[in-house]
Amino acid sequence: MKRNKWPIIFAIPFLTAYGLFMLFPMLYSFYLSLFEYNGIVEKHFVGLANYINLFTKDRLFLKALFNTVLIMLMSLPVNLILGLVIAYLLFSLTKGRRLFQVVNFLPYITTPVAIGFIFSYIFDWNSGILNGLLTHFGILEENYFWLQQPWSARLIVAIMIVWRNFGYCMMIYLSGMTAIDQDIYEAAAIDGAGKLKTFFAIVVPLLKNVSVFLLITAMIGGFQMFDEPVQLYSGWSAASRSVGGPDYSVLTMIWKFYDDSFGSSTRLGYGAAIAYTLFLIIGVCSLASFFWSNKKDS
Amino acid sequence: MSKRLLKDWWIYLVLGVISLIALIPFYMMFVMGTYYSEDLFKGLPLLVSDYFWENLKTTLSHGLPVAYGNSIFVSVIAVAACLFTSITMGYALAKFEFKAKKFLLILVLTGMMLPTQISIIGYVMEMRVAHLTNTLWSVICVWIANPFSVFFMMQFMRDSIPEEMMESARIDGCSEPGILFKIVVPCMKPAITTVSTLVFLWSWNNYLLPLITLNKQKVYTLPLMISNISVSYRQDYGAQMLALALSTFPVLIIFMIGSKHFVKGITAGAVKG
Amino acid sequence: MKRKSVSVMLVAAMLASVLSGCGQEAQEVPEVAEAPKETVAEDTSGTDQTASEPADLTGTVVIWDWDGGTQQKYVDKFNEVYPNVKIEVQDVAWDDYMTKLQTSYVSGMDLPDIILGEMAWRGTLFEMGICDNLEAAPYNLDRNQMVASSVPLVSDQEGNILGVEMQVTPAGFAYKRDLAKEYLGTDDPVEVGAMISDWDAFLEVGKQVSEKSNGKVKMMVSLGDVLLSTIGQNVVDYVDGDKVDITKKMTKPLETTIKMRDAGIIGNVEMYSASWYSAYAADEYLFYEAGSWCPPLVIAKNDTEGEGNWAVTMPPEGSFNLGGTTLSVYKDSENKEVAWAYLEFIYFSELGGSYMYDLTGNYSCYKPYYESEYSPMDKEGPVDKFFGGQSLVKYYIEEAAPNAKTAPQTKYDAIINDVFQSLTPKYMTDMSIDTQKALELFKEEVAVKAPEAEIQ
Repeated sequence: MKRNKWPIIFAIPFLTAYGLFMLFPMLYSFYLSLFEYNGIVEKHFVGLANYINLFTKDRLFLKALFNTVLIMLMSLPVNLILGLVIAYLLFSLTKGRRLFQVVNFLPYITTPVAIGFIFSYIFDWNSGILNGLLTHFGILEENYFWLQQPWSARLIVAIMIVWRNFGYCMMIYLSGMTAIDQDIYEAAAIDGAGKLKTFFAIVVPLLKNVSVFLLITAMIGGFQMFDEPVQLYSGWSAASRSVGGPDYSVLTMIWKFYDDSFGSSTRLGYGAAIAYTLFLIIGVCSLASFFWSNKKDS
Repeated sequence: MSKRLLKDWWIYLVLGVISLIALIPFYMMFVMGTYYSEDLFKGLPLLVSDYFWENLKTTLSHGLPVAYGNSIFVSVIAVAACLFTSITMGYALAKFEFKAKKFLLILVLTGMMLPTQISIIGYVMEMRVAHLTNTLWSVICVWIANPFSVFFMMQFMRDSIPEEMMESARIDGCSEPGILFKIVVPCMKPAITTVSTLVFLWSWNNYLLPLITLNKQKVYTLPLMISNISVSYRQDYGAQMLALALSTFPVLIIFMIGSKHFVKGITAGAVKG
Repeated sequence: MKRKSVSVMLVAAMLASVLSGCGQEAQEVPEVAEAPKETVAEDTSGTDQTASEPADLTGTVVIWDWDGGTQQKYVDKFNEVYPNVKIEVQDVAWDDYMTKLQTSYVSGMDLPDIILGEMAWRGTLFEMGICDNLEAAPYNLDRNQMVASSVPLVSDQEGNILGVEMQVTPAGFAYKRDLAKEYLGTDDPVEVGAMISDWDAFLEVGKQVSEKSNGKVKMMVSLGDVLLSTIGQNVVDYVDGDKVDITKKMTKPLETTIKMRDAGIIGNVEMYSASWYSAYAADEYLFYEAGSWCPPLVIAKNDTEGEGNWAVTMPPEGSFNLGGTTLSVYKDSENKEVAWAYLEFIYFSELGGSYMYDLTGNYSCYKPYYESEYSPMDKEGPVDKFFGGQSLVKYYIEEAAPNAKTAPQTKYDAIINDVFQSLTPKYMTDMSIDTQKALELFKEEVAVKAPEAEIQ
């Protein structure tokens, strides 16, 4: 059998590039995470102190973890369900399918900076559209500081994430639905199954692999949440500038890592420790959801 | 046909509403690009204004064409390289049994779970040693090995490429690369479209890496160039929005071309039904 | 290697000073200051033969600037005299400047020969130890030739001069003449200034204006404007090693700020937001904080139809320093002499001062310029017309600069700047925060950003 030789040959291009451009830099970062290093003063070895400090001394680390998980819980389920439903609705259309498909994908290709600017524009205290509308119709008596209250800030970030990402989920689900053997749909139609029944009896179970894939990747993406809050609270597009938003309510793990490593300070060793801790959390959660989905199967 | 359309009216309604929500901010981006920056805050920018040409001139004078060219170069090569490595690697993982498989799978998953920003210091050091800083290659290389794409390709091949297809090709005496590129790849259009669109988009919007490795205007990519439009103490939001709007076109076109691959299967079925 | 040797020498110098002068702080400072000077002298002594003719000077110098257009104008002037020097102006967005600089430095990328230090991050930049001491060779800058208020601003904690100031940056309060006439009865800068001679007077005027306009017209756009002004006015020595006396630095500013907020005379716009910039064109605010760079760069650009309607006067309780940018030479630059030739030509000479004044309305920090044949004092500046014919240079240089107190920048100033920006919205929205609470919040935030500091 040739099978022993070919998979390795097929793996070589990826592995070479992976080793060069990912593995080495990642290992280097891990090495740095064991040091107190800011790029200016000589680095000195501190062992696991950076990791321990994260949990014992850093007031913001656990808060960032809490924020990240919270915003993820607010957005991820909505994203998956909305993506699946829209994909299915699109899939069952006979006319105008491609138009809707493209339109619903637009948010995902809108540059994050523009999204930040537009959302700032909508929710700005002073010139924002939302306050304008709400006060105009008498729902609010005076302008509300949407971007300056911790909970509304989190909600806005969650809305941004849903708005931007449901098109992506839709696209992945569409590619999965396309891959299902088309005869199954026909058979269901012949049996007289309605759209709703087909959806729950056929589409959802058959797309289980896609759903698991999306769940795991969306969770990884969710833990790495960064663009949306950052665009809302820093950079040229922001209406309001502060690291982490009001009371650090939308400071996510990656934002904290970024700010400690490349922003407010260059504590690279410490930053790397944040990223590796995050990696461990992501790993545990991904494995858990992977096994959970497998278990439900049997 | 029209009966079916009537029956589906509620689908069109739901999709219409959602599409509208999806469309509004995108539309606003384009409209804002036609405004004189300060006028943006005087009222709701719903209709096109008259400052398009001025904003266009501003973006052009800040090197939009060069940045556009650079970004296209970066993303096209990144997509091509990433497709090649992820298809071959995905194929190896999905369709073969071999000793190192578990280990390789773990490598791929690890790569997905680690935040990409973490590798930036080591990566930039490598680029410096290889004398690639200040060249576009320094922002391309990072996309050659993309674990997400590998994972996606692997899942797709597992689900939708039947073993029998490959077996019969083997019996016909097809070489392994021949099977992959002549038989498997043509069946993978939806996956290829998906990965191409995503990698194109991600490399297109990449900001932190080019910010550090590129130090010359002539190699600036679009996001860098756009953030430099505003000079000192006046933010030119109008021109920046226009540049952002213009920069979404290539991704839009790719997705529009690719979108037909998602619906191929059902068309036949729907007509029959 | 170089980085290491400098830091070793610094440590050695510090040890020496600790051992020799027990508690004699006055002696400690100059000894530490000498260490970097010596290393610089060693590095460059071999190449110290400066070219005699401008045309003989060759080389390429890179500058990172967020306002490349303006810098390019100066470069063109420079190249008329030095045709064989190439100055590459590299655009780097303001928001990204420090990220790019620090990350590039850490990963060993080339840094520019000339580095800009904006006030918001100057303390951090100076503490990175990557800027050359300009009083050493080959620069040999004479601090007595610099406008006195600029000297502390370009110095690090040890008193080394690490940059030349792009311009002198005392502050004023700008206002619109038509609104002043309507609500204050006069638009004369001296009379308006007298009406708001201190913050209490400012508050009283604010109440009257508010009454007269039915609450429509506010005194300033953002609470941040007040806080920034009062922080700038409260120049105190509050950093001692890792001990940071936030109480001393912030009590007075916060007191004034909270008082102004409670009186309801300040607008609710967030500082540096888009609506803050667009507020220059609105007719709802009486006063705008205006550093010397604001009239041409901020006010004229953001209120394009305001020609002739503006004026500037003395802020309550006197002028202070607002913003400003230094230009420093990177310590590992291979073109130090050429870089300095450029900096000296534009930013530290009589002729250069006149170029800046004519091209952009900047006020050079080179003292002899103001007494030379190029002196701007009787020359109309580029935005004087915009300010109704008021001589801005007379206000900023004769009135404001002499009484603007300044102090060397530490990284804690950069941190205070960050904290001030992130907390102001909170002060603005939560009326239950009083001075005491505001101070506590401020201390907490500083503690988060500077975990090593001992905060008082």
